Amino acid sequence: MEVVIEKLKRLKKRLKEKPEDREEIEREIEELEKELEAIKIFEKRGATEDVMAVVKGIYEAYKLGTIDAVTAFYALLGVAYYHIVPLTPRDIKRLKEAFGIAV
Amino acid sequence: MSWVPKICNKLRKDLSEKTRYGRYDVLHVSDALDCQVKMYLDRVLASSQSCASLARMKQGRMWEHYVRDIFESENYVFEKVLRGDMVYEYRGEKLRDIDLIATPDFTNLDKKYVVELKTTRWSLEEVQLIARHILDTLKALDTPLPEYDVSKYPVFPSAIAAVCAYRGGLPKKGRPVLGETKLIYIYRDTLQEYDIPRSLVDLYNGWFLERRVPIGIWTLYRVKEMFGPERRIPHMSFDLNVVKKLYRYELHSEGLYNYFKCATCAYRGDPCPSLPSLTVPDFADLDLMEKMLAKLRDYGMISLSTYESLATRLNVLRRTRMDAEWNRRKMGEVKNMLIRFILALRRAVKPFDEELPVVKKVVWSDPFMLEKKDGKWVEKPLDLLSRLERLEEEVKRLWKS
Repeated sequence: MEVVIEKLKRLKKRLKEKPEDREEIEREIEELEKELEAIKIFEKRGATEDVMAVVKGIYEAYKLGTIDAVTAFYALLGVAYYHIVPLTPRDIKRLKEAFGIAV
Repeated sequence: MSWVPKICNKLRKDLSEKTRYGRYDVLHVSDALDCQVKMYLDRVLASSQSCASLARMKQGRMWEHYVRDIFESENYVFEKVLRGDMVYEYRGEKLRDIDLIATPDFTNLDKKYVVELKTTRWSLEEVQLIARHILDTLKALDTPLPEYDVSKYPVFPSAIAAVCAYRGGLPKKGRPVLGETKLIYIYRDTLQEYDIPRSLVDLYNGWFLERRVPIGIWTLYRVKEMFGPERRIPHMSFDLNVVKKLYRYELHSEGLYNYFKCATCAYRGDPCPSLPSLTVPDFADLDLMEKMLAKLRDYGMISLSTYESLATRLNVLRRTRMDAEWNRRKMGEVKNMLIRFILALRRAVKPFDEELPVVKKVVWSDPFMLEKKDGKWVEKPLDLLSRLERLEEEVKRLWKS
């Protein structure tokens, strides 16, 4: 969580100091929004707190750079499979988009 | 069950495109007068219509066609759309965005008769009960509505209000003004069309009165808060911005929107009532399942043998939850068992055990944050700082939970 919050604060600061970087900041915000939407998919599909903790852990690891996007994506799929979180094909597409994996 | 989405899509296409239900640029008098949030959501937002409500609309229209010959032989005109040209005033501003339309089912302009045909899924007593609830609420909110005797006219206030508006006429030049009209109700109880045990119907109605009506009342109070004491809904002026506000509100409170979707998803027409917590074996709410099973048994909706068989499966699931290794090995088996269990429940139950939505958390947004694009009201794009703040809140919420 701290990683994301820090990034958001950094973006805010940058937005105030360098308004000319607006486009780049917007792109980063969009990326973050997509990623969070992807996390929220699990919540919507009825994942419990335990499973959500795992999902958030994977996301944090991805944000810290411990694992890459592809690993994170497949880890999330694994969690969904193991815990039978009923993800739809559209959800998986959104997950792919969020982690920048070619659809 | 592949025919289910096909039917829903067909209904949606039939009713949303060809009729007023899917149009944003017209507002029907009954919606405007009634101020029932569900109606706004159902009619202003075509997307929120459940398959069941669409099916009921379709049924109503079919019934109108069915009796059309009878009325036409008496010189009635079928579905004459009366279009109003009104100036809406909201906080001193004049708005002309939306046309007001009125669609009495049959009109006989010579005799000045209006026929409003109503079909219902409630019994007369139930209609009276619900209508009284609504009338009491509206009275408490100082909302002027035509007074009528519920026991004499067992219809919802929206229907009465609409008929009163038809009677008053719409002030468009050249259009007929229905000065003195008589009202004919044809009331049809559709209950016998469904092959459903009475106990289930009673249970659903009980749930409706206990859960759905309070939500409606709460929302009406919320609307009242928004617009203040000056809010009036006489038959000639109303607040257009309710529509906008609710549209916006829907966009930002998915939880409640889904609740409305579930609430309007009557089990009779809809094959898939929402049972969100029952989809995953590892963390399915087994206690809730057990509770539901017991209720089903108590209400006599499942036989004792079915109850025992389901309860045994439940115990197996409980054991599965304890033993992850066993779970992994028998995953397919457990999955099938759970699917059977859910299907059995879906056949028998509607979401009477759902928790009420956390309505206090809903933030009502500013209606002026909307803009019209291609004839539709869409959300104005937020500035980057607001988006960042929203993201931060979202992150905090997610990690806090």
